[in-house]
Amino acid sequence: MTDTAGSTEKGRARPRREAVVGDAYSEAFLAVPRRRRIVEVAKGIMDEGLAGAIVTEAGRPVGVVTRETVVKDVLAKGYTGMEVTAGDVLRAPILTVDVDTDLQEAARLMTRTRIRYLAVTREEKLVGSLSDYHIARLLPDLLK
Amino acid sequence: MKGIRAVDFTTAEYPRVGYDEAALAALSKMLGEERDYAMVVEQGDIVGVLERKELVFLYGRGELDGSTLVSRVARDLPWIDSDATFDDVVRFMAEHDVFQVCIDNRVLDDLMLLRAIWSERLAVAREFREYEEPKEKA
Repeated sequence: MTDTAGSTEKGRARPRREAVVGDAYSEAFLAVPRRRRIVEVAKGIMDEGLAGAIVTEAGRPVGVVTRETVVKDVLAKGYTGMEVTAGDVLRAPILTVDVDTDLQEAARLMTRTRIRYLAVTREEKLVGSLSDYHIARLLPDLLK
Repeated sequence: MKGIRAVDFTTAEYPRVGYDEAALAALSKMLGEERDYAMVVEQGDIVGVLERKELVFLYGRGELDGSTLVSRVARDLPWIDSDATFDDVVRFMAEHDVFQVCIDNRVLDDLMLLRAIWSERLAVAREFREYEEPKEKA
């Protein structure tokens, strides 16, 4: 697994009543090419304790594979993960938010789509990921 | 995975909350114990589950605040027979769209399931042990 980009965790700081994605997202994310076998993608997700992996093509995010994808679309269908690639099961198009997007707006996007793993961009360049965990860890301070 | 009992990979270590507890306090417990859910426990028995994602969805709808109770968001937790195999649990999760199941008052979640399957698969999948990622073309 060689495609993990970045490692700096954002968030925890600057608790305030209104927050933006830039306050919460993680610069750590797992980016994998379409051809990567799911068994490897799953191992990367588990090793890093992530909600999912971002599937990229020529450096651009094109879809997402989550733990739920692995359970529902791979194992439950009788595959072992060896014969299925990220490109076979990715959810596309990937949902993207900018670092300056209001955090509640990002949560609203997750609510509407029931997808809890978003790509984060700055000036259209992929810079990180935003999961329900990243939002949740700010909520006790934001809402108290 | 057909012959592997899922109950052997469950845990009794999970955040415990009550229906009358504040949802934000329950969320703090989840975050503290690094879980994406908490079990609703009454008289020692698991009766429901509160998922972190549902709290975030509620926040997205603008309906989460300090007065929100666990009972507003929690749902019944599906039980599965104690002799269930990994295959049974995988099918159950996919069919019911749940990612935590209760077996003998213990819990198996999707991350634990994948980790268990992974280790088992590593033990049996010779082809994977010998698998190497193709080298990138220059």
